[in-house]
Amino acid sequence: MRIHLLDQFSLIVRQIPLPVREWAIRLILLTMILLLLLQLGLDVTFMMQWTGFLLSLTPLVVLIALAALALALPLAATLTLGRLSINPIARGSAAMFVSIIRGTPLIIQLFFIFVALPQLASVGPDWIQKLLVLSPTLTAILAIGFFHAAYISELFRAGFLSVQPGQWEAASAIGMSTSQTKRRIIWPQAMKFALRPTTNHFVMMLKDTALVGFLGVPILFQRAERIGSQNLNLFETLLISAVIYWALTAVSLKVIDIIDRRVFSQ
Amino acid sequence: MRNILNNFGSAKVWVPTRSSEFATILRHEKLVQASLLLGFITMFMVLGLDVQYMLDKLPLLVVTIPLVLVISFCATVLACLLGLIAALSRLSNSPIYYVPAKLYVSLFQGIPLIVLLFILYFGLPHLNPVLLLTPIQAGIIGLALSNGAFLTEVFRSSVLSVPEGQSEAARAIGMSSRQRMWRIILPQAARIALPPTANYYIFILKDSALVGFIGVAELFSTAQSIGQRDFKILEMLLLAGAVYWIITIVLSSIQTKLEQRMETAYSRET
Amino acid sequence: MYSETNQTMSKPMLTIQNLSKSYGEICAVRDVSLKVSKGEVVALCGRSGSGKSTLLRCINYLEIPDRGTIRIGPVSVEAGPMTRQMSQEIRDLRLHSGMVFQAFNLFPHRTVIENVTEGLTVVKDMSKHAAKSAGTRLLEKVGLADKSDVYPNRLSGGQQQRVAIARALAMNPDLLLIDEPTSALDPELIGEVLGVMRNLADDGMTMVVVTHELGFAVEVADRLIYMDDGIILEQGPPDVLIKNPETLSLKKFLGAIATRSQELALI
Repeated sequence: MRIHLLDQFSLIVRQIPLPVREWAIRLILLTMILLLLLQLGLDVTFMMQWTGFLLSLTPLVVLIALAALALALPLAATLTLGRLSINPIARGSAAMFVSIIRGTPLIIQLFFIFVALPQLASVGPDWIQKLLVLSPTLTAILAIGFFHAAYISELFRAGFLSVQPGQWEAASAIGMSTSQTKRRIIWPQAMKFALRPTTNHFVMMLKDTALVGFLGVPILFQRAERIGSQNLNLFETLLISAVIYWALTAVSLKVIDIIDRRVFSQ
Repeated sequence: MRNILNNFGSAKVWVPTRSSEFATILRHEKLVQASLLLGFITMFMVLGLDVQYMLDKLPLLVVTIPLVLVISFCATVLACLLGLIAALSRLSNSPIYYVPAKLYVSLFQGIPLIVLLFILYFGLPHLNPVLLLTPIQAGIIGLALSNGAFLTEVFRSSVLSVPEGQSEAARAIGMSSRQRMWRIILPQAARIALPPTANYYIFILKDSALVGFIGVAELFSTAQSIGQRDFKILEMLLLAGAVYWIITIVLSSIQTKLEQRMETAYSRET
Repeated sequence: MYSETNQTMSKPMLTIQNLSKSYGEICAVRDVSLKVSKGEVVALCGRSGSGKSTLLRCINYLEIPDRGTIRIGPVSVEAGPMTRQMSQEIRDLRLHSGMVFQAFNLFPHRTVIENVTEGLTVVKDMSKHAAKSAGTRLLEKVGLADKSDVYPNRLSGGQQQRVAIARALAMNPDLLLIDEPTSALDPELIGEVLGVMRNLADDGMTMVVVTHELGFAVEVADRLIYMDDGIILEQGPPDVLIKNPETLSLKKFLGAIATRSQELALI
């Protein structure tokens, strides 16, 4: 049986275990990109000088995102309950809130909170002023938290409605009337459905922190920008910050995956 | 009338079991929403918002809407193209194809859009003066690259949603994998992918606000510059936000109507 | 014990030699060898997990066997590492066979006639006109010529399956592989599909049918093959096997079917 040369080659290549092949291709790809950038004039020494500094700015990014997440989750739960409630006032308010937040870009909401609250406060007494004039970081946490809360509440709602009606009937047939036992049956099922997309939102929050710098206090991205434009090495610094964000999101996704598997594969 | 009630703590949650009940609640809900809106507006007016100013400047913002729509549309089309190529590569069995695709998705899902935009518009010329892009070019490319990565996953999962029996039937007839993909799988996958893709147009539209930071005179940046010049930032922010919101609502309802039409077209066949 | 030398073996249409297929630890098909002669109708039955569907799907390489050779007519494929050449051989194999699925698997975005002609125009490069007339003739054969321009989801299960049969026949196969054609059908629709299959058998089509319909096996099939645990336990004329099962496994299998039909008869 004649075997073509190409087939022979691919048969040999296929002997190499798959992970090795994957890494080889990744390495080749990244080397090619690096060579291309070097060709275009990349300043590697500059990058090596500044990477450490830019890395040290990373914890703030993570903190803001975590704080926003901590705000977003309970808020999202409240919104979902509001959306699904019998009370038309609760339904209406929640729906309006979600609609506005999902219908407007985050950057506008960010600026709005930063600008609007002090202006509102200027009308009121002193203590309200002190309360409502927020640092850019706090504003960011609020804005990002509210923004993603609206989206997450939709996920919760979808998860909630996706629980089969049969479950409700079975529960009432058994005689479950206490809220706690229903909480044990319906809520966990809804959460299983909604959890993975929700965790994706944390990753989005990490990226959204890049916008905070536009409020005046430079976060990772803006610091990189400033350093770069001062030294005419903008591309390099932006590249570093881009890679840092990428690493952050990739690591977060891995962590989420591990948690996902540990917690949810019973 | 059978309501299924559930108590989470003290909150009563209600799952509608009859459409007539649903309609009444909905009406109430719309009423509440309308009154909330009016309440907001009056509150701001009371607090000294210059509504007349807002109405004056509205035309200036409305003028930018076509640009926003066009930029978003171009970016969406490009993103779909990128997403399709990446999805097909991602679905391949051979690492030579799926490793780069995975890398693309991972990279552009992980880099914030604003960083990408800055790299494309400000960063590239710094690297090499040859690489000069106009703001709009950089904006469209950036939006497309970033959202293309997300669309890749959408397309990929829609291809995987096509029942495997279809692929088997195509193979049993003797179709090559190319014929199978393009004639049988992708047409069915496209139908599945249409609603989320249409959604992405709306996402990209909102993302496009960031393009203002690299110099495109679109809705957000116009509002910002007018507001800063006249010291009426809050008014312009509210105005811009309202315009975005209305655009989103209009586009969403168009999308819902189209989806309903497509639904009935298929169910008519049953 | 059935011996293949008893059969007047005209040149075999299908030859399976030493076929084995495992999924990880589980051995679905163990070293099965089989010959089917031209025009013969073979009914394949067994419990779920016996390997009958896997065996059938290995014949046209929808499942890739670990070991063994498949020959349909002039084309033969031997299990081994996948090369470009082997892919081509597999495609040839599929051009000589046709398959009908339990779930019909009609293309939902094509009309009935388009479903039937899809293979002709795309794989065999026929002109649209020639394909259409060939397709219409086949639809007449299965009794659905009047539904040519209808989309599959408007048809009943029995009608869809008949279209699927027409689609398989369109490629002019030497061998028809039929995987539980009536298992997904409402009982009153089973008859129309079995009727079409009977006509095909009468016309001399070589068929291998995985089925639970033992009535069909007795009436139409020339040979019944009973599989369990990946091997062929018994094979022979259907009426002989059903009246006098030799192995305990087959006895149990027939017993279970008998009780089921008894239960139905009581209603």
